[in-house]
Amino acid sequence: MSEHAAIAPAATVTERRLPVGRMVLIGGSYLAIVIAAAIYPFVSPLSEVWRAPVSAIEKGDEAVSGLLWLAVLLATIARQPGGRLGTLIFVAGMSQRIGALQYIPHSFVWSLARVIENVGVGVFAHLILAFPTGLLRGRFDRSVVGLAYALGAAWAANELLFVGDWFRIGCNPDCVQNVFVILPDEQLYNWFRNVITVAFCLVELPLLIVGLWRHWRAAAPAARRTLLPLVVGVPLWLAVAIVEVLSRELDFAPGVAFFDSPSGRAIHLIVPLVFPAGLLLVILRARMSRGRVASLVVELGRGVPVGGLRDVLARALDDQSLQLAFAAPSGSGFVDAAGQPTELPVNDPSRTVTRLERDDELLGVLVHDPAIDTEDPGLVEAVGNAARMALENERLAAEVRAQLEEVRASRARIVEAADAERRRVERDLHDGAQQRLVALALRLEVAKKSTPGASELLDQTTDELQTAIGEVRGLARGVHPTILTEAGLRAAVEALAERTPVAVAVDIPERHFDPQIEATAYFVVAEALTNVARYAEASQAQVTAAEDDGRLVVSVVDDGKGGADPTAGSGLRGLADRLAALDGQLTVSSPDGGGTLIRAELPIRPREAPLAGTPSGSPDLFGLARVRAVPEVRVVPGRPGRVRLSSPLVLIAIVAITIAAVAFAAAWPATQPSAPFNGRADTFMRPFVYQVPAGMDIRLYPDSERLHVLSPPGRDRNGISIWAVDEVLVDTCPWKASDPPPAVGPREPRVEGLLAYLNSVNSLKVDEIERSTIDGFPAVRVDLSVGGDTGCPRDPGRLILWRDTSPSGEDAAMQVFGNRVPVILVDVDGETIAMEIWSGANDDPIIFDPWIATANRIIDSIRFFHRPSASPSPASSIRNR
Amino acid sequence: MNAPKDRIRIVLADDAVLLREALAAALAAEGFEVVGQADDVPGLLALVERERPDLAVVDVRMPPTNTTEGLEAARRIRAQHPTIGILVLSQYVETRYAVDLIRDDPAGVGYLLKQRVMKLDDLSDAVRRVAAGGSVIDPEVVAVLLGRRRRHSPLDELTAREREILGLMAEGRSNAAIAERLTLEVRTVEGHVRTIFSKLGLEPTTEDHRRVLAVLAYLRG
Repeated sequence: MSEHAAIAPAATVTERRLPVGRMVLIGGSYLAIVIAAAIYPFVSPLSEVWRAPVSAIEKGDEAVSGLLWLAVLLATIARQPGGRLGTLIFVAGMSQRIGALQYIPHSFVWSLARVIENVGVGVFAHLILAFPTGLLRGRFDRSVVGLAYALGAAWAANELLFVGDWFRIGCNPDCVQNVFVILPDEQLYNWFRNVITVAFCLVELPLLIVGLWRHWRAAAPAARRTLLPLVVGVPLWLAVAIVEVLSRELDFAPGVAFFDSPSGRAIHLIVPLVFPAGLLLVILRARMSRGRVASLVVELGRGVPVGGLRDVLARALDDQSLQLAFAAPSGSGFVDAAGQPTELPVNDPSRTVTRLERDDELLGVLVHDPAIDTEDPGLVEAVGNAARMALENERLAAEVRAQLEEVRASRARIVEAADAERRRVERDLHDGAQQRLVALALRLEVAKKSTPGASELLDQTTDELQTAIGEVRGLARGVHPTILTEAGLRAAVEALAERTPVAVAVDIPERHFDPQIEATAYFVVAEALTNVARYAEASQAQVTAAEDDGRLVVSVVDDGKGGADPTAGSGLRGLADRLAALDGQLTVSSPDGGGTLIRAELPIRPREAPLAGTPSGSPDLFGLARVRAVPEVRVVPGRPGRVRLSSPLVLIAIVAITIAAVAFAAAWPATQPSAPFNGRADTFMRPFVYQVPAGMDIRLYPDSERLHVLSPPGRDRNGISIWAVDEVLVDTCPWKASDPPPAVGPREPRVEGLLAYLNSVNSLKVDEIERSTIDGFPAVRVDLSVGGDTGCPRDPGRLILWRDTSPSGEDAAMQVFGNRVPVILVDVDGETIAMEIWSGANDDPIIFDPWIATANRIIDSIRFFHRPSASPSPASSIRNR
Repeated sequence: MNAPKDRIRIVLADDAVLLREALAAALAAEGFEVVGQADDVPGLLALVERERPDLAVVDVRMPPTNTTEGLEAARRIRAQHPTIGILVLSQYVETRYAVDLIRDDPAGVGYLLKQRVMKLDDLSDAVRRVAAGGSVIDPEVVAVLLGRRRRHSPLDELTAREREILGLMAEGRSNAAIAERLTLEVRTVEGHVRTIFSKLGLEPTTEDHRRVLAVLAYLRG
């Protein structure tokens, strides 16, 4: 399609019409997902929930990225409707956008998004190495992309199979769950994730950069221009990704700190945009290349020297490798502007063959860098249109030259045929007449001996026969010297020299040349030496032959009287013609009294004389069609054509899959009913309301910086037994270390017990205690500050505890405090204790670490004091795991 | 010439049947025993293996390429059976072939032009000499070698008689044979040969083959 730029305007319109309807459909479905992913958090009723973990800047970045990819997609489809690149960009962009949907708290959407986001990693690698043609070249590229898909699939499988409840987030009011889960196992999941991540960062991404570098190295200038945004953007992006992911995965503190800092966040957000921005730049810049068409018109207006059109077109297309060819006048094959036969590339992915036609008449053929079509699919055609007249002129000129060339070739063929004929005559003389005569003479000799009487007559006859044989031999040698064929030019010339009555020095390399070249050189020497012997009155002569820049230079020089006239005799004249037919040259220099120099120069490899084809009116359309079809045949061996994004079947499939996905998502319960929460203090940052069910242990060890949350053996919704243990980094402020563990004491009323504990903690200072009721239930309010005298920042706050009897404690918390307040609900002995913590310094529901720690202590304390009896500390079992 | 007591056994190789048959007839008429004929190199080699003749008469040009198969065959026969004489027949006065042929070891080797075989006496003389281990070079080849003009050639300093003797030496003849042919005393010939050798700066030697070799090398040089 793009290879076939027809100049005919009518054809142009049908070829290049944009598939507007399809673009709307593709772009629309894409846009819908972009909007859903990017805008949803802002309009969601849960926006309060989301604002905290995902900042507005990040959401904005998501939207910019989405729209950028949309622009790239639409521009690509507009330029290359049905191209593979469009398909890849669509799939890559889609996978990223769908990945962004995981912020929507819907179990199915969340699960699907996580899986597709990971598979999308492979598509991105594919896109990077397939740019700009949309096709993968070479085993290396295919291996790298294959590995990327494999890692992405492994990643997706890991998400799919092992992500259990611990990942459930946004439990407000219900929890999002992995709908595909088979074996929820956090350890296994983390192990796999680490392995895959490290493999990806240390193997796949560097290989990707290497692949890109290989493309760059192999690219022609035009292709480099296209590759530039990738070569700059992708390694940058990948390098940042490698450092960040590895830092986080391997807990490399400085790296994590950097990427958590504002500048690190900015880099994290901006660098991935370089890639789509670069792609867009390439596609938009193609527009600018049309400016070169304008200067082409100006240049053509000034007039182009015959044969100079290729250079002009090469400038306009910015492709110095450009080849301009015309149909050969003979009807088969192609010729260049000089009329020389030329080959068009076949099966060469690095070259594109474009026919320039007008009204079914072939004006010319351009062989160019495929990047031109990728960068700006209409450019070749536009250039062809602008240069139509010049092309016509050039074509006619080339035709004339080709005919001249044909004449020259036919002359060469005549010489060749004559030579062949001479060789045949020589062989016939040798094998036929000569043998017969010699045999006859022999028999005559025998007869003469056995019949002494007839001796005189026989003697005479034998002498005649001898003469005849000698004449035949001389004739054969003159027609074609056998020694030339048998032993080469040097031997033949030496034999000539031996028969020349003048001392002849011979200096000729011992090698065989083309028979035609050899014969011509031989005849030159023979003619020259004959002249030397006959007219030159020379005492010596010298014959030299040497190769010089692909030509054989033969010279014969003597010290005779000179004055030879090359036009006088027919011998030299004929030789000059013979040499001219072989593209050679004969020069004679013969000043009076200054000796004679005869110099012949001829190409060592005679040009391939094209066989005269049967002339026909139209060019070899069949052959050309084959040339045009080559890229597709080569790229998709054994497959029935390429799948086009714009083909109706694919569109129907996309729509059907989308409908099925929406229907499935609608049918699937959005969330699961609240289930026991395993407790992760650090996830305070996301959902604010936790339930700590009965029977669950939470332990803070004073000598540890980690909070251990231990859930009892239980069964998940699939009936599989789980025993999940989580470790959460809490805070490193030194006050913790000096805190004593909760003492094991007699059972006390819960509030009193708590207060006793709070007072025992060095870093907490209880300022005021107020007992009251909330909704008619007893409650206690404790004003306290963390930090104390430990050197940590002091932060006065308030702790409110009350007994919650509502069906769902969470609801009560919501009623009382809205959702601006962090609430911890602790289920103790069948009743729910609600706990609210205010951080006074910030007057903000966002909890900062000392408070999380405090909350955990309080939970711990409440648990401890309400335990029916002191059981062995679970510390040892946790530590030993 | 009288037939020797032990008839010389000859094999013939030439792809030109007419000539080969005529040659066989002539050789038989001269009293030689033609024990086999071949029209190509493999046939010749097989024949030589089987018959172990005293002499092989080989055409230079034979199938399949019709170039210098005969020379190749001659070299192989000499390598395997040094005692079998080789007489190479050629259409051409190509001195290179002659010199190539006898350069290594001139004993029992001859190079004759086909036109020479029409002189039956010359033919049977050559056959006998080669079969006896001597060297034979066609006089016409020698003439070309002698006639080659070269700058400041010491050949110019030779007298006409000396040149004549040099040519006969090159053909492979001994001093006695030269004396007989020129109707001179052997002593006189020996004197001429000494002069020639000294004028040309060659090492004097009495052994025929080495003498031929030296002369040819000189002429060729």
